[in-house]
Amino acid sequence: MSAGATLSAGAGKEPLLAAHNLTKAFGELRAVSDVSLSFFPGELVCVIGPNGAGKTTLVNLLSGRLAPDAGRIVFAGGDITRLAPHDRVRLGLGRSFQITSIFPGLSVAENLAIPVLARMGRAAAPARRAWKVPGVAESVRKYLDEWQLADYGPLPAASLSHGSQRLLEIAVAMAGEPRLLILDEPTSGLSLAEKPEVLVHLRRLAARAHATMVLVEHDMDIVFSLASRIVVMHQGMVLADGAPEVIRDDGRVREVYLGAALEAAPSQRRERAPGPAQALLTVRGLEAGYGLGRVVQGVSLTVHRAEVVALLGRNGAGKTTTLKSIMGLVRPSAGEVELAGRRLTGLAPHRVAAAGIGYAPEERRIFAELTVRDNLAVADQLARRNHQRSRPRLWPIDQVYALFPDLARLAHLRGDQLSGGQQKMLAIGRALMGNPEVLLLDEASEGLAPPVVRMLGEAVARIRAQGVSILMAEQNAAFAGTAADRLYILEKGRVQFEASSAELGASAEILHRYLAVAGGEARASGATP
Amino acid sequence: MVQNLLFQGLVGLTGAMYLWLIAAGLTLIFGVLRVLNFAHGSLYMLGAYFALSASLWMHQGFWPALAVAAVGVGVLGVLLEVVFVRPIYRLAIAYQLLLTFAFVLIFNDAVKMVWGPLYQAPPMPAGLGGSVVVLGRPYPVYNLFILLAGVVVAAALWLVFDLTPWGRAVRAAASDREMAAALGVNVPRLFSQVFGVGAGLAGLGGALTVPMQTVSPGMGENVVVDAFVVVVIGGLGNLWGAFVGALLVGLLQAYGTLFVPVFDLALAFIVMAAVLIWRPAGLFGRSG
Repeated sequence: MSAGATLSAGAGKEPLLAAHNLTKAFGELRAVSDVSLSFFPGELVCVIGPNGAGKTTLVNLLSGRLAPDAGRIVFAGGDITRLAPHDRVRLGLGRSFQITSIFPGLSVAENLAIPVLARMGRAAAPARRAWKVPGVAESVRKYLDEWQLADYGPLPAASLSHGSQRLLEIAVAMAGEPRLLILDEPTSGLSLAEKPEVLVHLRRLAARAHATMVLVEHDMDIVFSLASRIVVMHQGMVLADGAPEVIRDDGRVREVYLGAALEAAPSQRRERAPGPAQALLTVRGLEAGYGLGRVVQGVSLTVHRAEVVALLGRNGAGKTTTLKSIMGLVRPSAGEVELAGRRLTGLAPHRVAAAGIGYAPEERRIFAELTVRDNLAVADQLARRNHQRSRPRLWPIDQVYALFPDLARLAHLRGDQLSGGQQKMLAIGRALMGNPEVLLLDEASEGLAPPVVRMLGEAVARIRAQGVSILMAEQNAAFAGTAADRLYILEKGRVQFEASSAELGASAEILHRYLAVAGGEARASGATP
Repeated sequence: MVQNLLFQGLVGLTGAMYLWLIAAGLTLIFGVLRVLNFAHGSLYMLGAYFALSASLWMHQGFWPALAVAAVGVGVLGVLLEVVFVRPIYRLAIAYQLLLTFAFVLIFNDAVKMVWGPLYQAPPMPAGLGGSVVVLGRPYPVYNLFILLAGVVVAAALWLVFDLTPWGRAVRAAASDREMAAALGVNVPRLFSQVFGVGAGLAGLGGALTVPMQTVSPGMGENVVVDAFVVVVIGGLGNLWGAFVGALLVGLLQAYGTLFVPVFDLALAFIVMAAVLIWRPAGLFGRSG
């Protein structure tokens, strides 16, 4: 079926980009295995597949960030297999990254000026004189308006919220006016409210005849509403390739990917243990921010022993800063953090960790050059010290491996050889290794394929079953609803609402008001429409 | 002719080990703390003076003098890190350069005040003097000892950094200090220790060169330039790269003297320039 669909999509046309028998292995792991694909002018191809299927590796091979072990890549009639990334960009093959990669120190406008200058062949123009190059200021203004970033033009890119930084990154990639643009999870990190906005931009771009796009994406709504063709990857190989209707009806695809999401996710919530709940982590009147901005403006919350609590809110609501302030990575300007009656406010991060708080950050922050095993072992000393203080060691390495069997299989790989989803598991496993009483999970479900989200839900339940409390920051209301006992909704740095997850699920009005999601649409981010 | 070439290779390897002993600490400190320590040459010089004083003033033997130099300079390094370097991690790198350059000036004058401006030639340690015939020509025993010392230091560093929990924590902190702290690593203390180890290596390097050359103020400056070349070729912050870079520069200098004596001083710099053009992050550095 795949051959027929491909032929009809590109009937009579030369492919703009063609990969022939691409293979790339990391040690024993064949991340991409004998993949042949063609992309035709004007197509919008979505690449989907479970975490670790090899999507990001494929993108890295196409964009030149990685060199293939075998195979050829042909772009616009020329062999580019050995070409450096910047030479490919010059030929018109652009890409964006799964992890936000803009220049944080430059202003938003300057970030946009870089591709504009590069297109004019003036990449080396000194930043100060860039604006004097004819046409630059006009082009940049056009892109600022187009992406609704005009208000932020002079601000440093680092000051934007995570979501706006993603928008800027896509805008920067577009500003290069590539002939083919590869977008690696352009909506990861965006809230449900922000996703449609990006979608509108992508649609408009797709409508332009000359733009050809390859999109790696987990959100099935986006995939099925945008794609002219869908490529499904599984274990490094192309499992299926065809029009959306064909893919939707493909039995194998349903089995390995969509099928898992279509089954109703069983509720992982369990009844809380009877008896009076004991407050473990208490946050009172927390205020924190960067520079002049007050990102967190008086957050108070409580996490009880063996309780899973979710902080819900849009990008920029202050969720991450709240977690970082608890961890001691951001110094709060006011307020208090207490763990089992012990004051943690103002302590250095390693002391907070020693007190019993573990942290798995949104960006994963895996030690790239350490093996998976060494990444886990970094927290080993911490666990030993805590163990000596008569806290039983709940998460020795074999328990972590039992929780995430993938990590045991990949133990000898370097951290940067893991896929995004595997790195999420490693970040959580690594935090558990320190034997925390409270685990802080920042956007744990973000960017994960539906089956993995379900697995994460099970992992959360098992962690909690061991008596560890979890405080998670989430944008995925559906995941938070099934995994958490209680939720706080954050907006503009304040707690706006507190409820049990059952109460919140029933209140479509609250969901709509604070998260801009209609209650009926609250669903696992990967469910098919 | 073949013997000649081999002998020159031995000379090159010895030179390489002298370079490696100095470059190791420099690249270690940069790799972990991201501090480019201009004063590394001064620490090397202090190591030489510490060893000299231990043998001349305190009438200690060679081995205790080595220990005095390595430990003494290491402790000094910890003090420098805690008092001066720690407050400026947050500032731009220019401040680090200014600060460590100030150390160079201060230590040079301090050395003149304490030990005088004159060249001093210390005694050769017992048992390591004299020479043996290698490849048909006499070769100083002490140079063979340096070859061994370089390999021992390399092996020791590899063991410590790759196989001990402390080394693992250092590598983690080098990669992401905030995340390491969130996993319970006491990063400020670790940084002091690493600076101390790096300084101690400089001190050891200085002490080891003592029997073979005169000790004088300013002896660090010449050496630190060569060490920088080695470290840049290998990739700033990469220990293995510094080892290979030292071998490359050492051999180049030895064979350069043999074949193109006019250029032998420039050769290392030409190689460095070539590496910077082709692989700006160094042979073993990671780009980006």
